Amino acid sequence: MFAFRRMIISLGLLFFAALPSHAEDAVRAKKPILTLSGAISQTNSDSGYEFDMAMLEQLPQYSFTTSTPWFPEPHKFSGPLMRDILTKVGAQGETLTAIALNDYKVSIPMDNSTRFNLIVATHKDDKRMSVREKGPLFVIYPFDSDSETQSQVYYDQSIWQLKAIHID
Amino acid sequence: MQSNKRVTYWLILISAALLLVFTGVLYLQFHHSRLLSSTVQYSESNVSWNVFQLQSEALRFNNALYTAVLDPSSMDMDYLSLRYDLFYSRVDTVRQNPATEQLLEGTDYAPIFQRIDAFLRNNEGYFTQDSQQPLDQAVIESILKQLEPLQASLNDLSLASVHQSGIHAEHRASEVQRQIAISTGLIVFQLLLTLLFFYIVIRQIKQLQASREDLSQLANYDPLTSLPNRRLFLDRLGQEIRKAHRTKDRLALLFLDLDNFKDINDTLGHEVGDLLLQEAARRLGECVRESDTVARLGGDEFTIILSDLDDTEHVASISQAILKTLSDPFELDGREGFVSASIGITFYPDDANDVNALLKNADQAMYVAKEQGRNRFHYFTASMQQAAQTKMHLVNDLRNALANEEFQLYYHPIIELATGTVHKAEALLRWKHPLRGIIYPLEFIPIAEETGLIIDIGNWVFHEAARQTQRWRQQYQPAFQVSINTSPLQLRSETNSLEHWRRSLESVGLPGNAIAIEITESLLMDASFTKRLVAIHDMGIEVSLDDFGTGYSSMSYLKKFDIDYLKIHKSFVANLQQGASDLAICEAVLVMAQKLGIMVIAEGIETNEQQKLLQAMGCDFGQGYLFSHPVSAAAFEKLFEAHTLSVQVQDLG
Repeated sequence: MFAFRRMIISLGLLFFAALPSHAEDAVRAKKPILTLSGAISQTNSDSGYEFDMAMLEQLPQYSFTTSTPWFPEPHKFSGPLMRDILTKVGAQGETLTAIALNDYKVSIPMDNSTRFNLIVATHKDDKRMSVREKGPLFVIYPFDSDSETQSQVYYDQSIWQLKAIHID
Repeated sequence: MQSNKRVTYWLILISAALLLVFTGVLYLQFHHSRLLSSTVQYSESNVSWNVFQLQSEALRFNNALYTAVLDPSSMDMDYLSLRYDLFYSRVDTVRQNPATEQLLEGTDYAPIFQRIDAFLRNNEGYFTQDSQQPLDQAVIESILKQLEPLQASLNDLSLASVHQSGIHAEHRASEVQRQIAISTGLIVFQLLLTLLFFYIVIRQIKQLQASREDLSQLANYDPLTSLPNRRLFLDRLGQEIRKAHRTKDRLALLFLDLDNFKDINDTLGHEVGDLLLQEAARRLGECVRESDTVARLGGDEFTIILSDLDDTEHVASISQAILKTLSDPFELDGREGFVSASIGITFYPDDANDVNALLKNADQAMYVAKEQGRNRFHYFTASMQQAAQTKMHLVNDLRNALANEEFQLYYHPIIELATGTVHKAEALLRWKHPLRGIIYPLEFIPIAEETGLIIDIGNWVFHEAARQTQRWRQQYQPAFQVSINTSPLQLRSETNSLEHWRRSLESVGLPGNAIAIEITESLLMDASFTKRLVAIHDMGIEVSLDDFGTGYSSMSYLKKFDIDYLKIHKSFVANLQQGASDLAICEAVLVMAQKLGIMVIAEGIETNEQQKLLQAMGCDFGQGYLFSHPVSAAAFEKLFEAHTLSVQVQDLG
């Protein structure tokens, strides 16, 4: 199934790669909040592929409730899966460098987006998150349902106030 | 019982302690794992990072404001708001970290944050979404003025937090170490408690076993004599019967009752009676084999099981030994006591097949022994009793026979086959019993050997033969020789038969070579006999090997021992005829004897043919009914008077 999907993607990439940049059907972000750059085949701006909130909300939504080291209570987080975003931009690489509004940076192995249901949360408890509330985007692992992720490594990768992802 | 209860309390106490310690260890383990959980560790390690980030956001916000002051025209309100929001979010991040309060305890964390809160409250209005108006120069300057001291405080807090983190980590490490030490102590304690627990349990089990053994001892053994009691005896008898049934063996049951025990008990008291029973029990034990069972049924009644019996004779000698050992005086608390015993004997499977019948038989037989005058044993079976009585009488009579001069020697001539003359005779013992007439050695020699009377009888035979020979040598034939049968018992090293013989020869003035002693091959198997054989030869006495050919007939013996005569057993002579294998054997023996310089005497010659054959083969001497039956000394003298003995049959007996 995956092999098949990967083949379709590869074929698609080949097809798109043959085309001039800025695919015509790619929508430009009105008010970008997330920029993907680096090894991606899809772009919608000079700096790479930009998403605004609406575009992220159009992707398939995924949600789970988990406790975290940053909030005293468990919360429900929802948003698109990281792998869907990566597919969307035709990312081809091994490492994601996630960058926060305050320029905090962290590396995430690309595998983690398929090994875990890693999401880019747009909502906490069904509400958008302001910058003050560590929003608007919060990369988060399903800590409670996947105990392997309950460690410093994954806590460090859970970057909040996400603004960009660079793929190598 | 009391101690059992105490042990139970101890065990309960130890169990409870173990449970407590166990719970303690578990709690500590849980506590450890909680302390060391990633979430807690993460929160703690993040506190100073969070403070540092807050400080850094304050600086960035400060820089953004400065930029706005320097170049008001290009003031970006969105960017200022973002920096404000980021600063705001950092404040919350510090506050929401569960480890913050604890880790920053003792620093100015609380007053600084109160001032930050105040700062945020005061300036909130300028950065909300709906008022995106560019800010006044004066406002920005006022904000900057408020921010400046906060930055200095945050710098201090940041440094303090790093310092605190170090101290905290040290605390945490020592805390973990302390808890590990406590856990280890508890585990060691737990181990000791467990060991104690097992020690007590094992000790308790041992005590239980010991008391069970005591009970079994009480149930199965007589406490006074330590012998098996009636219960164990019945059990053992049942077992022995089953065993004997399986192996088709015979066993004897002896019922023993002390004859005048009641008198001793009555006159000397129960304590003395008990001492006597103990001593009697000990003596009984010495009379039987390890595998036999001596039991005390109660009072002065004992039973003895003798198993694996080959013959019933043995039982009589054991009974005799018991009667004898019990008749020895008993040393009882400084006084002497005398008892005797009556024994009833019965046999499995001859007399009965089961425990009860055997016991009844033995009891009855014991009563008969009592009625017949006590201090004796009696068999349950009439025929057995008959045989025992006969033997007993015979033993008694044999004891008196020497004193009563009831023994007599008969002489069986030994003929020199070449000349037909009598040069030798074999002395044969006859017992003229006053009631039963003549009794042959075959019947009484085993009893004489059994009772040890054989020594005295043997000595008498030697002396009498020597005396007779001396007379005949003087009167008839100076070279006459008499051969005397001996029992192996006489030639045992501990008997002084040789010394006795020497004195006999001296007293009658007879040289040793006038006597030949007949020994059996079995003696030659005793290596120590060599020395005595030399001593015999030193006296001049000659040695004749009797019954040659029926035993081992080992040639090596003949070589090793200095033998003068071989006597060929009559069974070989009886079948002598041309071509018979016995002829070949006789011939071989003769040839061999000639080579070794041993003379041969053929026994049991009954026909002329036998005589001729033997003579033709070169046999030196012959003995048998063809020449004469054994005769009395008086009758033998007639033989001398006839001067030579014809080879024709001349029965003078």
